[in-house]
Amino acid sequence: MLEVRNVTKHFGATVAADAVSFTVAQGEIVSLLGPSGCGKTTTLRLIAGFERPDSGEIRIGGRDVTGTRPYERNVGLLFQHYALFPHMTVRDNVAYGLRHRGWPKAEIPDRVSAMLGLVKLQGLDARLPAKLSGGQQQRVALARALATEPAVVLLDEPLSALDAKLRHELRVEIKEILRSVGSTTIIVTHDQEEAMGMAARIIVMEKGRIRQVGSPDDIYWRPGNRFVAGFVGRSNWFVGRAAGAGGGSPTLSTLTTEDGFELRVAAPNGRAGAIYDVGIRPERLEIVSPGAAPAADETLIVGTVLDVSPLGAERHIVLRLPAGGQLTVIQPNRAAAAPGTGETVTVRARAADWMVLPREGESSGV
Amino acid sequence: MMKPSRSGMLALPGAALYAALFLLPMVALGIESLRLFTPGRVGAAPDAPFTLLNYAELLEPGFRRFFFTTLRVSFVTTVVGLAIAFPLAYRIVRSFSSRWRAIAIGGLVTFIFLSAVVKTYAVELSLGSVGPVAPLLRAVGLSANNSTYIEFVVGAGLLQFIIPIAALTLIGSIQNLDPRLVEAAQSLGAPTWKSHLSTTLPLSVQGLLAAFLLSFTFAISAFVVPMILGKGRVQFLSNMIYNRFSEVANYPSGAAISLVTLVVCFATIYLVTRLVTARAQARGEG
Ligand SMILES: Nc1ncnc2c1ncn2[C@@H]1O[C@H](COP(=O)(O)OP(=O)(O)OP(=O)(O)O)[C@@H](O)[C@H]1O
Ligand SMILES: [Mg+2]
Repeated sequence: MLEVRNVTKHFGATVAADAVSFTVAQGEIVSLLGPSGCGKTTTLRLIAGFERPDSGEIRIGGRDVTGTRPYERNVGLLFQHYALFPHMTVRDNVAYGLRHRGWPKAEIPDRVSAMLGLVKLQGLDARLPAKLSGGQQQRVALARALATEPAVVLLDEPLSALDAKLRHELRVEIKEILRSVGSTTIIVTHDQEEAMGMAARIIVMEKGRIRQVGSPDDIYWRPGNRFVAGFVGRSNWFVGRAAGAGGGSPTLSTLTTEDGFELRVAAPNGRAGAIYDVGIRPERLEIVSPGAAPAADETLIVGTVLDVSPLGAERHIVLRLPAGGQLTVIQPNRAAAAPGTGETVTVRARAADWMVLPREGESSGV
Repeated sequence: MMKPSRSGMLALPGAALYAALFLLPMVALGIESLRLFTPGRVGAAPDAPFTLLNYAELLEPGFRRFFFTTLRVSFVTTVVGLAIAFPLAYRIVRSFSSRWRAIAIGGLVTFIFLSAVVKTYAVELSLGSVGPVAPLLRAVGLSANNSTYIEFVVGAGLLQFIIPIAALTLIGSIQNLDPRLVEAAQSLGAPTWKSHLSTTLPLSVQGLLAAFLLSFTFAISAFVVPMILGKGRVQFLSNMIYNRFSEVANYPSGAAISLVTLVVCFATIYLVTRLVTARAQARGEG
């Protein structure tokens, strides 16, 4: 449905989009995730036609729209701060696109009512935007963007202006609405939870470049690089040197960290001596009874408890490692007693849970 | 009765000064305008009888013409001036880098304060009977002394002032507009010009109103421009007032014209403001 091919856009010396390529299928919801300033809004503006790419091509429904004007593209855009027309009522805001996209006059009132029903704003159609709450304004913006059945819907941080509770409610609701309408959608966000909750596929950007495209699980459990791994979720990182293949198993190998740990990880296919970033999600670490013997695919790490924070559903335990580093373990906050500060505990990690990434900048021996 | 507040008391000296400087001369002017004038004198005699003759005189076609010329030329020029100043101000706000914006604003301010006589003679030199435009006029069979053409030249002279005044007024209100509104309109299918028509323009109504009133009252009370460029064939109210006071020394008549001019100014401000705010309210409630 939407194809972005090798699109580059500079603003002076900054590269806001650097050879960006991706496609979005009909009816698919894709999320564009990245830190502030990485070029998310710019990418949307390129698709909507408010910026011209320096190079590259954008196709919507098979048609090359790279050189066309915004109003010649059938793209619905929800702006970062909504941009509702302040001098028009809710009804006129929603009807605006219908009028300009040539809907039959007689059908417009019904269509507007249907859209306001969809976003649960019946009865507010005569209000001015200034007299609506943030959540209501957000809904009007969504109704306005969807009213004309655009080929592609672009949502720029649709929830960023709302408080945490409302965000959560609206997230589920927007997802429902988008699914019921069946629109092809890109949702921009810098909130990983939002991205993972709303989209089946996530595009992670950094400094104008796409760093990884994948399902929420891919991004979280199989990050393609340190940036993605670090941006999405928490993790504990070590630098490890490959001891060489084998170690008795074709699927396992041992990485020796600077601290002297021998980590048993799923074989990274590297030659001996290659350097890797090795990380593990804190919730994949498990505190075991001291003195337990590790299985072939397990690593035991011993540390001293530095801090325990019970954060509602889960409990964060920070350990100090003998060589001075730290390790965070996340446990469900169940009845089982938390270790006390100063206690020495043993933590178990399974080989399959380690994220093993060739050191960036080093040519990996693949 | 309400007790005057402290800040109200503080405003008293200013109000008194204002009364002394503005209202007293106005009252004097009002009294003078009601005195009977005897030709040959300078001003009315101190004991001259009261009369409405000086006002009645203004209803004669010869006088009425001055009013209509002034209002017509001022109105058309103001509308043309706004039509030029609005896109200019928009460009300055939206397309200029902050450095060029500062330079442009400085330039406009300088241009307003540049000597009126200098600017007006510059217009005379370029558009008048000796300027480069005159031969073109002759070629199409027009005379540079044609009174319609002279009105046009007077208008061109007024624009030298109106454009920078209006542009500066509008820059402020355009700066307060959210640039994404035009983009939102475009993404909803409206071509650029329609987007501006339905967002930029209605949201700039207050600024346009201010710019209109400033420009229009400036034009109505213009003196130097019609005096130099009008060549006696196009005269504004100010020129007639000057003429009454200093050439024929008919102070009562001059005073009457002055007061009527003032009333016309206030009436315009009142009517235009009423019209615009009533429309804005109608929109807001509709
Ligand atoms: N019109 C512009 N002129 C100059 N630089 C720009 C312009 N628009 C964006 N940039 C720059 O391009 C980069 C990407 O900006 P963009 O707005 O796309 O980021 P973003 O990912 O949407 O960030 P945020 O999450 O803060 O909204 C930034 O460095 C920004 O400063
Ligand atoms: Mg942004």
